[in-house]
Amino acid sequence: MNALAVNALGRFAQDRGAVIAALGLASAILLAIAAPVVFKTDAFAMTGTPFIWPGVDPRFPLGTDMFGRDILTGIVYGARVSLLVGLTAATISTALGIAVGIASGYFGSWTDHVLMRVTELFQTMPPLVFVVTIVAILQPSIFSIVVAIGCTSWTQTARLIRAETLRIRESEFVQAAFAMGFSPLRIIVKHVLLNAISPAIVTSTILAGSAILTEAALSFLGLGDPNVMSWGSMVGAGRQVLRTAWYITAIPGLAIVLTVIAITALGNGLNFVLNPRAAE
Amino acid sequence: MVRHLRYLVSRLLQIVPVALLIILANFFLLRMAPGDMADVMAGEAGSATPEFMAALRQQFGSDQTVFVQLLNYGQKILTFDLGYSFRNGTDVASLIASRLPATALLVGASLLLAATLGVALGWLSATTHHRWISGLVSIMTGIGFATPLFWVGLMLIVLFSIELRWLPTGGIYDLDADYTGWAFAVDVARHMIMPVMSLAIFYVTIYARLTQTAILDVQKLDYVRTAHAKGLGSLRVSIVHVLRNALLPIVTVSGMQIGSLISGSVVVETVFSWPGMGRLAFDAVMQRDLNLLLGILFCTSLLVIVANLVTDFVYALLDPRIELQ
Repeated sequence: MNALAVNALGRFAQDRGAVIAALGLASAILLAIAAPVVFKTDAFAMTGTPFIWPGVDPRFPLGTDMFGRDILTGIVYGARVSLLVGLTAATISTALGIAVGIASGYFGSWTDHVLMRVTELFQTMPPLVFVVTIVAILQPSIFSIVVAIGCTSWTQTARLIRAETLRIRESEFVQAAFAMGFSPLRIIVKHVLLNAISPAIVTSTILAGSAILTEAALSFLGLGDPNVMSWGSMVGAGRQVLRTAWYITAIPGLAIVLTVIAITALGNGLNFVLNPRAAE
Repeated sequence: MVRHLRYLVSRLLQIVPVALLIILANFFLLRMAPGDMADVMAGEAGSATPEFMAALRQQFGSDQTVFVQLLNYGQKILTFDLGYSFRNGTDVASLIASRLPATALLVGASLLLAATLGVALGWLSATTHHRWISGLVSIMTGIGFATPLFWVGLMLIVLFSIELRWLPTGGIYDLDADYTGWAFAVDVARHMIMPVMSLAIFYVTIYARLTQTAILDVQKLDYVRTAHAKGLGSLRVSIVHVLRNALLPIVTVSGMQIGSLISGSVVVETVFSWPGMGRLAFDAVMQRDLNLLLGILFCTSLLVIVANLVTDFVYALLDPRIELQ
């Protein structure tokens, strides 16, 4: 490990919230991956008596829902969906945003003009209504949800990267690279992209958080993947028995809140490491 | 006044390409959907002969080339002909129009509450030396961003309707009671409390943070020092000189929030059975009524454009420094 990396790690370690968040998320990811090993039954299995409140029966630490399904198993399996959707949708939208932003900022003129109008279009359509329409058309599945969220939430990254590209393009080292006759592709990848990417990484954590929230909203609205247990659909199902057993609704919601808070804290820590000047 | 009018016209021209792109996007979404209008009608009818289907296709123009279909679609949508909702038995445009007031009430009230509370909080945290207020705002922002709106709504129902029995769980007014006049207004207000709270809670923190930064920026400016030097009271300076100018970015942000507020209203209206466009969108999803869903997408996008236009114009009126070109 070189001195620069040690230095960066040291700065990250100073942010106690980010360290806790990183550890929490890491264990959540591990648990989500290991779910089939840890739990003998899947999330849909009816393993106990219905309506056991949390903390009553040690076999069901978080209780059971109205069908006698273990809520803890549901939460862990739901984590798989949420984390998967958050990670992949954020990756898609960040990649799209970087591509649009660099093309727009680097080539300018009509490319910039067209791409910015398209960006405006995506910023104008109300995000959730747009995603709901796409998922309803493509039929609900993890794939269509990820595609819909990824393809609609890249605008902020695109604008950010465009501004960075415009700044970097005018800098002396890029001018020098031009003068040395490097190909545009090489200049874009080695000089522009590498210098513009750190704010995009920080933004991608925010995108991951909001992708998780959007997936939860979709599942709550009945547009989730019907074959998997997700936190949003658990809240939606619990809603039917809100009057008598509100814990069925409350617990998955808390899981969403904690996960998104952890991702945001991680993003703050990354911002501290990657953009030390901006974070001051 | 002529300047203002010219500004308005130029802004209107700027939105034309985006409006056309929205129509294009709607058209392609409609084409992505499995089956066409003829299939939908045949599905509603139960069964149909191939000849009947061909006649229907000719009637709807779905046997034409894509380009001709796009032209037809654009022409129809520009006259607000958004098609027919077979599940609801009325045309989409009037269905949406009938749901518009409820959503406007919900979104408007939430925006107002969020802006007032947020500006007050932001002003307090910037001007007083109680650092816990700005700490509280930061924590609330973090939690507010991470909390799903529908979950906030459901938890409010648990607290205020089920446990405390203070507020009704949903709807816009009491269907059983025959309230009129003042009593009716009070009844609607009681039904509004929880939906508005769930929708506004997140935006309060956004406004608070924005006001705080804006005030801290404006406070450093020379004219504020001049006002202090003239011997004006510090409360007067902080409200008349600082806050008034710091409010300008709030106007811009309010316009930008409309899209996400409408998105939020989809879930909030679903939770509280609020009879607006959001609830209509949810019903359209449940009934797989894609025509209606696309109509809602188009109308809400249009609303966002209009909202942005209004904010730009209000901003230009409020701030004489803005160049009207």
